[in-house]
Amino acid sequence: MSNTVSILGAGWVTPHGRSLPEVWKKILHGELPRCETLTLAGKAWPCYRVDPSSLPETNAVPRLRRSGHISHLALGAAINAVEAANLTEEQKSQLAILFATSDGGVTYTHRFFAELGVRGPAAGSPLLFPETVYNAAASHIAAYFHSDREATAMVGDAAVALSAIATGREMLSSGLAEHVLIVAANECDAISAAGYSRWNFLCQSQDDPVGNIFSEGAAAIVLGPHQRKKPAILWCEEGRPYFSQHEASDSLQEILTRHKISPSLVFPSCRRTPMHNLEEEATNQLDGERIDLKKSLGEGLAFTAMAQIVAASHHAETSPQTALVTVLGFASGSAAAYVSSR
Amino acid sequence: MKSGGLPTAISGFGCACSLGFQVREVAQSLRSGSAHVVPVDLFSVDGCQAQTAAQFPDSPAELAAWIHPAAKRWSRAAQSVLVVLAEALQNHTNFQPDVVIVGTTSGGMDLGETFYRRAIAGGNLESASRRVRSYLPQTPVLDALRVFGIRAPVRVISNACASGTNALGMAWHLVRSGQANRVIAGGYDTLAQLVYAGFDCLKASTPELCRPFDAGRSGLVLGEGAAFFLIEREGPIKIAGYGSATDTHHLTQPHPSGSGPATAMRRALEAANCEPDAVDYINAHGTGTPQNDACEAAAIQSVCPEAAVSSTKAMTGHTLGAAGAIEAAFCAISIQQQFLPPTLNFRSPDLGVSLDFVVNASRETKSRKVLSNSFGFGGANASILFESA
Repeated sequence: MSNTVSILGAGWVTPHGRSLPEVWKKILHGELPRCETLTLAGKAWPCYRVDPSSLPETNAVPRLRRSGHISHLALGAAINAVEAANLTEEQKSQLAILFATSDGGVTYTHRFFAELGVRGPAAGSPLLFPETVYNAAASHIAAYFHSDREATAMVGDAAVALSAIATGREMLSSGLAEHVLIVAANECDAISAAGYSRWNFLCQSQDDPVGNIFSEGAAAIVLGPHQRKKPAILWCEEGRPYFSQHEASDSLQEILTRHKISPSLVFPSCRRTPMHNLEEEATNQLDGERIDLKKSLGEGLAFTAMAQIVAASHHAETSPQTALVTVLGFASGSAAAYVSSR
Repeated sequence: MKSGGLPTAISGFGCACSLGFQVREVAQSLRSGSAHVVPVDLFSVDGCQAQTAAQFPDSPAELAAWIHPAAKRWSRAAQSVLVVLAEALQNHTNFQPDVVIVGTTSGGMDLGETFYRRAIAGGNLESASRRVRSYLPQTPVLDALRVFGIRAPVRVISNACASGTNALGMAWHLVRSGQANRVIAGGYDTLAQLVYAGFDCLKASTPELCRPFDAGRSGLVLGEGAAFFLIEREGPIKIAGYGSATDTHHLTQPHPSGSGPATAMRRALEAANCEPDAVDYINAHGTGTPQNDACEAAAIQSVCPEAAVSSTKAMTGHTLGAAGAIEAAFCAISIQQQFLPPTLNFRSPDLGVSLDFVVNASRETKSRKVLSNSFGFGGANASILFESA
């Protein structure tokens, strides 16, 4: 039973736009998106948000009229990935869906809870509450593609995006699905920025040498049986959870030593953060040009981890390459994947 | 999903809910048909339509601290996970899973709410953010696993009220396909104000008793709990099949035909190569809300009309992301101890529904094949079939 699966299609919705080749070009040129500000309790955090013009037209989808921002981000990336995969209508209706997120619908959760705080526990909004569940976006995506297969939300730090890919590969290997759509998304809200500021991976300005700008977006891939002309995920593994800096590096290294690899590109996840040296320590034996997505896309947790995969896949599709993607999440998660042009 | 594959079984499990913190206590309450639904005292429910919940009989803090002293300061969710994992692992101290799969809807929200309140009130975020890590749904599980020296990747499934069953289903796939040898799977959720207020504002919660499948049912009562299972090749309870389906009718309302639940049940039976009339008992999702129960009754009627049916949520409340796991534990207890737990507070059935409901008192029986249903927001439907090994 081969575990090699192909990325049949990929897409993303980013603060730089939605076109895969154009955003990729901007990343390579080091262009920065427009910076906005989130504020809460007298504090401010810079952020990169997605321009509303990059979101899909959802007037024709009644379910999405009241849905949270994260669902729009996720659906935009999903539509692009599924289009690129060139699936038939029947294949779309049998798509298994995995939706990975770190914060879920945090904007609506914040608003819902704020109303309770001001007006009491009986003041909850029945319009907001259903959209606060983590799997709301997965459900909307399933509805859009008319799929009745399992639509599952997975939650965690940035490494959850690669956990979802590992799960998708297992679903394909065990014959549970013919194609798996994997979407990772995260939205910006001041309450998350306030919480994450403690971890020191967010920065205060675009010129700040330490940390990344908080960001939002979604990235998606369609996984299917191996096809020679499509980029392949040769392996994707989750590491053991870590509870100290020393363990973080070991956790990643344990994955990498299980495989013989020689990447031409490495997509790391922790540049400019306190975890950078640990990630470098685990990968410093490997050659390959390092490509740092977060300078251009910001820190979008699950979103940016999946964007690393989408970028690796795009690069592998346009030139014969192998790319290593590594992720050290902020809350004990580690994972790596190896993407190849073959 | 085709039937076949490697054998997959439960070799150990632990369960805590309003009925108790140990399987033995829980089984006694299930058999005697007792409930523990009390006025909520964990947070304010002022002005809410509902005022009660199926809370743990005591705080899990003391038990958790007895297992691991530092757990005294953990979230209620993490404490309950620790207590349940301790029971599941008590006779399996060397159990090292390849992966841990957990269902939850709100994670450690009980502590996360502290941060929300502070932030919204303009308080000191610096000190409040210390607790933010506890709000992450993987944290309670990671903290508890660490106590037992288990360092396996943790996957958190959050598919609303189907999460626990989804987690068990994923574990079943991994073991039966040979992609994993050992998995810990389960679910947890503890009561939180945000969730309580959410169900109240949707008018899904009832101000009176929860009466699943009763003609006069008026809504659900929330609960809290956790259950975890050790899943490997051999054990006294076999996981025979699992099926899932997404109903895209509406984010919170099922299609009235019951097509989503029926598809999940059929897929579970197909995966197990089991004829519908071989199912002895169904632990229904049975929340007690008018729409959900009608939809589920229609689904059961169309797939397994002969099976005995009960919902245990009148006893335990709806434990959301933990419900699938807790009810899987009830199914295991039912098979091991040969009785069917009852649907409490039942008065009269809906017109047109002619299922064999087990009502108001448990039933002694010889059941071998038992199906557990879990359905949730987002149209998440999941069914899992257990049988005696």
